[in-house]
Amino acid sequence: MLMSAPTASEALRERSWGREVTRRLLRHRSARLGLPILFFFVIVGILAPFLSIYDPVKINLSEALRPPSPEHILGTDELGRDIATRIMYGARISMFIGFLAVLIGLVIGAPIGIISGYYGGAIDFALQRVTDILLAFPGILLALVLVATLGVGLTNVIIAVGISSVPVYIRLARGQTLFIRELSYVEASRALGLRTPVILFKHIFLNTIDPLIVQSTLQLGTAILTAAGLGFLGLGVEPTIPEWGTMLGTGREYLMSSPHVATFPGLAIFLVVLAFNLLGDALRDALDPTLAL
Amino acid sequence: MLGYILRRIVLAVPVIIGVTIIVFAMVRFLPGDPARVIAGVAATEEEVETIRRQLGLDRPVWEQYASFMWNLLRLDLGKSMFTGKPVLPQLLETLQNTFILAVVAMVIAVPVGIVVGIISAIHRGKVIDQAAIVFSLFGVSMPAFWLGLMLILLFAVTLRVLPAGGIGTPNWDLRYVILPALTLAAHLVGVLARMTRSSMLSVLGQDYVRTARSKGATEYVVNYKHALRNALLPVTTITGLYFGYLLSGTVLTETVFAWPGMGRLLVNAISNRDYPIIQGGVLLFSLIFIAVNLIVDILYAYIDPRIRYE
Repeated sequence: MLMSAPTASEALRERSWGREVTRRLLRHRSARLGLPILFFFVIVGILAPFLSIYDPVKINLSEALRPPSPEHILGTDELGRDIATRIMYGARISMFIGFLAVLIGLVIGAPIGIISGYYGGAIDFALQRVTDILLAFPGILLALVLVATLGVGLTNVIIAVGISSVPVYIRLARGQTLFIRELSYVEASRALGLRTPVILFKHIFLNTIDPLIVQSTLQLGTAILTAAGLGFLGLGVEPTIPEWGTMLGTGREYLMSSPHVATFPGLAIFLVVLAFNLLGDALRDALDPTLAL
Repeated sequence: MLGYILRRIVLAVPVIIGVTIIVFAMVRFLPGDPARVIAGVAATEEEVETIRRQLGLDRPVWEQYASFMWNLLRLDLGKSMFTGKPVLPQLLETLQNTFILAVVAMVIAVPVGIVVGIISAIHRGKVIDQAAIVFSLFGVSMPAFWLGLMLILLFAVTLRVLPAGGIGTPNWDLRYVILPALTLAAHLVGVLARMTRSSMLSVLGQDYVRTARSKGATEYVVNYKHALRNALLPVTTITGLYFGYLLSGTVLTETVFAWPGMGRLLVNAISNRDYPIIQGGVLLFSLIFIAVNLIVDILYAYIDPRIRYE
C-alpha cells in the first residue's frame, strides 16, 4: 500500500488549499473588479425572461430605431426589438459559445499536449508539426477558414472557435508535461509499475490543472471575442439569434443615425471579455504559492 | 549560425506543405457536393458540371492536389469566381494597403506599449502603475470592431475631424489611416505594455541589478542601462511574432473602415463563396506569418546566441 488513497490530513490540506486560493482570489484587486461584472452578466442572462417584458426575437417595425428612453432603456434596433432585452438574452448565447468552444479546445488540446510531452520522440515531433500548421493561421484566421468551409450557424461557430483554441492547449499542456515528467514522483510511479494511462491522468494531468484553469479563463475572453468578431463580419450565428457580435454588425449600418444600436452590444462584449481577463490574471496570482497576496 | 538558419528553414517546409493541404482541402470539405455549393442554389446542372470540371473536382484527390501545387508553384492561384479576374494580382494589390495599415499600427503601438510598460514597472504598486495596468487590460479586452466604430462616432461623426472610412484615393492621404491604425494598434499596445511590465519586473529582481544598485548606480542608470536592455529581449520577439496577428486583425479593422485591404477582400470573398480568392488570401496570410516568424526566430538567435545551441 505504498500509493494509498489520500489520507485524512491530506484531504484536509487539499481542502484548505482550495479555501486558501479562494481567499487569495477574493483579496485580489482584479478579481474584485472582474467577478462582479461576470456575476452581473450571468444573473442577467439567467433571469432575462423575468427582467424584461419584451421578446428578444419578435419584430415590431413601428418601434424601429428608437433612441434610449424610459420604455426602452437602451433603445430599439432596426427591427424594433428592445436592445436591452437582446443583450440580456445575448449574455446566454455569448457565454454558451465561449464555454463550449473552450471546452472543445481543452478536451482535444490538453490530452494531445500531454501525450506529446510525455512520450517525446517521433510522436512529439509529428504532433508538434501538426500544431505548427494550425498555429500558422494566426488569430481569427483559423476560425474564418473553418467557417468558410463548414458554413455559418451556431454549431459551426462553436466548432470553429473551439478548434482555433486547440493549439493553445496543446502547447500549454505539452510544456507543463515536459517539466512534470522529469520530477521524481513520476519516475517513482513508473518504477512502481503504474500503468501509463494512470500516470498520465493522475500524476500529470491533475498537476497541469492550475495553468489550464488560468488559460481557460483567459481563453473564454478570447473565444467570446472571436465569436463576436465572426458575428460582426456576418459569418456568425443565425441572424435571429441575439448574439452580441451579430447585433453590433447590423448596428454598424445605422451608426450615423442611431449610434446606440452598435454601441451597447459592443460595450457588453468589452465588459465580459475584460471580466474574464481580470479573473484570469487574478487566478494566476492566486494559484501561485510563491506570491504573497 | 548558418546551420541554425538552415534547420529553421527545413522545419518550416512541412508547415508550409501542411498549410497548402488545409487550404486545398477547404474546398473539398464543403458540406455536400462542393461544386453545387460553389455554384449556388440557383445553378443549373450544366453550370454545376462546368464548375466541377473547372475546379478539377472530377479527378482523383491526389491528382487535384498535385495540379493545385503545380499551379501554386507557377504563382497561378486561379480566377475569381465572381469577377473572373486572376486572383494573385488582386491579392497583391490589396496586400499593399494591408501592409501600410499594419506598419502604421506597429509604429504607433510599439513605442506606446513599451513606454507604458516601463513606467508601470518602475512605479510598481503606485497609482500610475494601477492606471497603466487598467489601460493595457482595456487594450487587450477591447473588441477592435467596436473600438473602430466608437472612434468613427467620435472623430468622424461628432468632431468631424477625420474621415470615417476609405483610403482617400486618388492621392494618398494620411488622415485616412489614423483611425484604422489606432484601432488595430490597441490590442498590441495592451499586449506589449503587459509584457514589458512583467519582463522589466523580473529583470529588476535579479542579482546583477542589485549589484549595480549597491555599486551606487543611480536609479536612472539601473532602470535604463542595466534593466531595460535585457527586459526588451522577450518584448522584441513578441513584437515580431505579433506582426502576423496584426495582419489577421486587419480582417476586422478593414471591414469597419472600408479599407481596401486583403482582410476585407477575404471577408467579402467568404460572404460571396468566392473560393479561389478565399484560398489565395488565406494562403498568403499564412505564408507571410510563417515567413515573419522565421525571420524573428533567426534574428533572435543572432541577438541571443544561447538559442542556437538549444
